[in-house]
Amino acid sequence: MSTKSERRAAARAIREQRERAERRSAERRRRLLQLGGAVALAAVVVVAAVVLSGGGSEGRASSGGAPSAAQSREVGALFAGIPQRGTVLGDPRAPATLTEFADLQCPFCAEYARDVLPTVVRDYVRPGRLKLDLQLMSFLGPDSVRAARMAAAAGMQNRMWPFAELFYRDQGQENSGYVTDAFLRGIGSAVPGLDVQRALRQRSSPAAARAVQAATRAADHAGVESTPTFFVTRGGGQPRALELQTLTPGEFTAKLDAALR
Amino acid sequence: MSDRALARAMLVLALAGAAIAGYLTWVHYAGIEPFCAGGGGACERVQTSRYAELGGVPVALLGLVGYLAIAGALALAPASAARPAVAFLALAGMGFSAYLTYLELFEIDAICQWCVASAIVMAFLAVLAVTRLLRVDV
Repeated sequence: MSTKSERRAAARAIREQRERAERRSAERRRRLLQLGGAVALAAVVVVAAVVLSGGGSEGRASSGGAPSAAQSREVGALFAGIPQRGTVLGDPRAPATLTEFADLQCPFCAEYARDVLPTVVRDYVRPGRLKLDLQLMSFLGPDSVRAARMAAAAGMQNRMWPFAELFYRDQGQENSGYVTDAFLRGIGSAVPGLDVQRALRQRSSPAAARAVQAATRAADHAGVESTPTFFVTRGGGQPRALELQTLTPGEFTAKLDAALR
Repeated sequence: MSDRALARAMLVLALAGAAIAGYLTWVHYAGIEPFCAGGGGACERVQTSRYAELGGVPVALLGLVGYLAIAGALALAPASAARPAVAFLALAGMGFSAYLTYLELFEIDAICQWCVASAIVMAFLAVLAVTRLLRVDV
């Protein structure tokens, strides 16, 4: 038989146990709520960061200034063994020059670079029939200016052509501010043989500014109104404009052959 | 594992993460190539990609701030406040690290070992932070 005091003690123990269990349960609910809040807040922060980094945008083929190793190799192979000097690609003694006025932000210039240029390089530049002169304008906006200056600096190291080619493959949305230092560094680091740090320094040099201005003056002088615009010059003759309806290798080479005859 | 031991383990992880992010921040501002085991320039490719900055701020610097915030909360704040704060920071860090790893794999086509190390540290931190938050010692 238990005494009265023993029964009271047992009842108190049960009550305390129940209170402890209730406290634990309340605390667990509070912690779960805190976890839910932390997860929700973290999700908001992550989504905001993803959107801010441009990862949520659609229809953008650009890798964000980070060409793949395969792209770098492909561009390296396209120009491998061909002399490059400043804006000019090809044998300096080639009998004719194809001058291209382009803007690195221009999508049609990228289309030409992707669809037509490999044929021109293979069939005209490699055999020494033609040299190419790339005159980079910057009429589309501030991103074009930054791009053209970096290209000019790459040209000082005789790497303008692969730089432009890799830039075209990574074009972002026009004048969205995507041509940042990091973007240019990324493109530059994929150009075989380019000293990126030197190019980043030299893009602010008077020589780079002069190169960009010279391209703009030459375009004005030639009456260029859109990009890309092409002129063929044979020997010391007058430049002849290539009138193109489409940017296909077939039409381009047909017009080029006509101009070279 | 006691609550205190959990907090200590997380503090060690946060400091390790801060060291990694600090190194990458230094590399970013010094404009030098990060040390990359095996070479190949993969780390530099990732570090110089457009995704290396968020709103003009280097991602490495954001990571450093995040790790230091976690370490600060663990070392200085009372446990009741630190638990949810650290869980939030670590979960956000883990989510963003997962996104960055996705970019490395499918957009940049290059893997930066430092970033992977940081992502692993952050994932461990998140697991420990959630474990600590859900433990009830009443």
